[in-house]
Amino acid sequence: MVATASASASFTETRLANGLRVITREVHERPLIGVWMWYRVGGRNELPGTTGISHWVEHMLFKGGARFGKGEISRAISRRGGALNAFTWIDCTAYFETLPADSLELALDIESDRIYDTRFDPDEAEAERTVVISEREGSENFPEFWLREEVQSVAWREHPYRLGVIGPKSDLRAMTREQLYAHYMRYYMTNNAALVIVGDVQTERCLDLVGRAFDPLPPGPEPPPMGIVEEPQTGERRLIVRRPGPTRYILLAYHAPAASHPDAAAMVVLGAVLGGAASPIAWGGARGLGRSSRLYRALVDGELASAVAAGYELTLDPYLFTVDATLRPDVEPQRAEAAVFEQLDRLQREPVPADELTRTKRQLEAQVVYSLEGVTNQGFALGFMNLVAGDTGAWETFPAALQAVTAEDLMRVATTYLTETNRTVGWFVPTAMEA
Amino acid sequence: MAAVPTPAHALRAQRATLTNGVDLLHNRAAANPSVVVRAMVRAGASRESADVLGLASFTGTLLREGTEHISKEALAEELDGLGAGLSVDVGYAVSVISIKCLSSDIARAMEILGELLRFPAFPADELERRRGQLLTELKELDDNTRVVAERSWRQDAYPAGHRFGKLPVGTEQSVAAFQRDQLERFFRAWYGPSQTSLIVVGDIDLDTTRDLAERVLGDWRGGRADPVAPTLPTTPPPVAAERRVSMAGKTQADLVLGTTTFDRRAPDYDALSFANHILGRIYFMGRFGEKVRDEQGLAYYAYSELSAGFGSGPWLVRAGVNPTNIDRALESIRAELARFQADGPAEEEQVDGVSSLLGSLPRQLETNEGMAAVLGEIDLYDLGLDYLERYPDIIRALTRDQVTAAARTWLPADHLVTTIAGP
Repeated sequence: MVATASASASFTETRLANGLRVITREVHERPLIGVWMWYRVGGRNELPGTTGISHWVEHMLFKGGARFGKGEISRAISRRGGALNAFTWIDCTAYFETLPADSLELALDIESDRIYDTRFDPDEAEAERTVVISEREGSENFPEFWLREEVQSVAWREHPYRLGVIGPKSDLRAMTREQLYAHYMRYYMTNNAALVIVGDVQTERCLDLVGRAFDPLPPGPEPPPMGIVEEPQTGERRLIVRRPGPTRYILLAYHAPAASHPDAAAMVVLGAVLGGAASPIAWGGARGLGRSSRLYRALVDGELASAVAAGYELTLDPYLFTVDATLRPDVEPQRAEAAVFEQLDRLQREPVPADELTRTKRQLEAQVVYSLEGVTNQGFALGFMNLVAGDTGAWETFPAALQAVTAEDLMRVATTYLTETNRTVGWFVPTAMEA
Repeated sequence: MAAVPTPAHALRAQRATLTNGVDLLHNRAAANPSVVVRAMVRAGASRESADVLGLASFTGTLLREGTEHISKEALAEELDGLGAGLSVDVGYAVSVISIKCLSSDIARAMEILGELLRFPAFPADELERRRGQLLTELKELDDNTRVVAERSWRQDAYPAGHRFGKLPVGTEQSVAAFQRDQLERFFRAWYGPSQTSLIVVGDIDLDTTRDLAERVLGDWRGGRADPVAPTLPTTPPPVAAERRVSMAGKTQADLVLGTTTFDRRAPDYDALSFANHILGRIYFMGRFGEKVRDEQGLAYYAYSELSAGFGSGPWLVRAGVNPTNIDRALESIRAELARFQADGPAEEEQVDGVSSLLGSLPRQLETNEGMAAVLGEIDLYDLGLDYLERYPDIIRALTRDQVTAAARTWLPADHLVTTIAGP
């Protein structure tokens, strides 16, 4: 049963009586369908002791439910030539299937089954413990992982964003099957999820199939709200990670506004001026852009670093604006850091020239276009903007807002957010090298 | 030039030849208002001699550091101003120079690509800058367990001096020694119309594409007069070996296990590729994934890949495991392989293997990059523009016996080389 519905030219949005948000978009160029299921639970909803629980629960959702036995979900998708996967992030956990268009019902069958009936077999939960630990250990092999985790944990005092997503080994070793199951029961319900379907299917038929699969499901009790608010930072925080590694790295992190904040668009453009553009609304895009960006010129052309990036992500709560660089072995961190600060100061002092701003916006425009190639990417953008911006239409209005950002906006946000008291500075220094 | 009809939603590729012999492959795809333009030059690492490892890679990446008519800075500004991404990827057989741009900018993007291919300046100062950058990147590769495992594996699996025995990227010593004239010589020897295919996929028609290509590349001369296949000598199956490389500060071990196989154009390719699909890909990383990850919980990833190229390319199983689980993981992988060689694929696996490979075609062809990759393979290995039309029959015709026999013949247990890089 349809409780509420709205439509724009590019998608339809419906809310079932059980609270499930349903977003559809017809794309008929290829006989494909992309199905996404977004749950409003991630690192943000976790507490010390069970950090990483959302991600582990995500793994459990591939182990079968009432209608699918162990291994059957991936078998069913694979034998039709489909692909499936999932990811857990600080704000959400999302699952997708990409399939030939005539297999939409299979995806709906899987998602409507595992939302309430996932098996939490104790042996399977135990087997997955070592898989998740192995996933973490794979990341631990990279120096950047240690630096990022450390900076994240220092940049916040209160907010669960400081805990990240994968979780520390102590939590991963200690968590129990009962805790996993309780977390699943608390957050997996129709009224805490959004289903996005993009592809070669008529909307009416699509909604009919969705209704058949999901209308019989009841809503659950509202998940507990996450009410932790980070107090403003009042002084620079610094840290050094010393471990074996190939070279030095630096990571600067500034507290930055949430996706719903009016400054979000300017922050995206600011990141692109500094480090080149990436699409803020979906994954993917062209490689090799941004070689005229300020940090690339200053650090890579300036022979201080082999790589540099600046980034701002759209999040539910205020998150981070970051700059990171891989330093050449003969470069001291303070030198690279000074070169970054010089560029940040410039943004606060002088307006970005018109031609540079035009170039940056064009990069963003193009990256957004590239990132929307294919039904899976479009489904991501619709679901992601529904989640972080609270407005599915932002998949079009947010890219448009980027084009309206002015040089004055950039100066203002640079002055507001890129301040000394608002930053955490991390260095990775290989144990074989002096700081 | 003739249009080859193919089933709806599959490739509708067309081929043309420029007046100087450059092979043009084109596929119209209007789903996204963008275009991928890719020059595939048979100037990969297999062209190098043993004393200049990484020269192809170094030469390829220097193409975007400035030309006779456009400085590096001007090039970067113009590409960013178009929102066009330029990338260079150098493998064993080919160096691929790609530009991804909005459809409206295709003309200028093609001109830029033509400029890079024809008039690279190899500026001395940019060469030094790139050298420093690359030396840092090489240090990072030395610290990467995946890379070190494969690098060591190649060293043990191929005869000394064989180019497949080293990664395409060079070594600290070779990169430190490159001189500008070496790059120029390599470029003059191998970059030219007879070695180059141009692949264009996206929201642009063939006539426009051909006119543009003719204008920017039609009078390009240089390189060898005739195409020379980048084929490397075949190698004997390696002597079974196991090596552990200890790396400081690591928590996870990357293991690589495999053997050398054959040329992509070998008669057994489809059967062995199908065997690999069952062993290390289908469902969720195939039998290796099911056993090592799903059943035993030993790894986040365990899968296999067949990289038959121009020569005896490798078949590799890869897994990332905790050091305490190395032996169990290796034992499981070897046991799965032995079981497959004894019994072959199950009836269900054979059926699912066919349907999964055929059913995934629309997905592979969904993006311009995906299509360009398929066209590149078709062109490089001379599979024929109708390859995807014939592909269903090729796959359906494979029998379980053929697949089993290919695994027995080409993945012999007594010629498996194993490398472990980690703590």
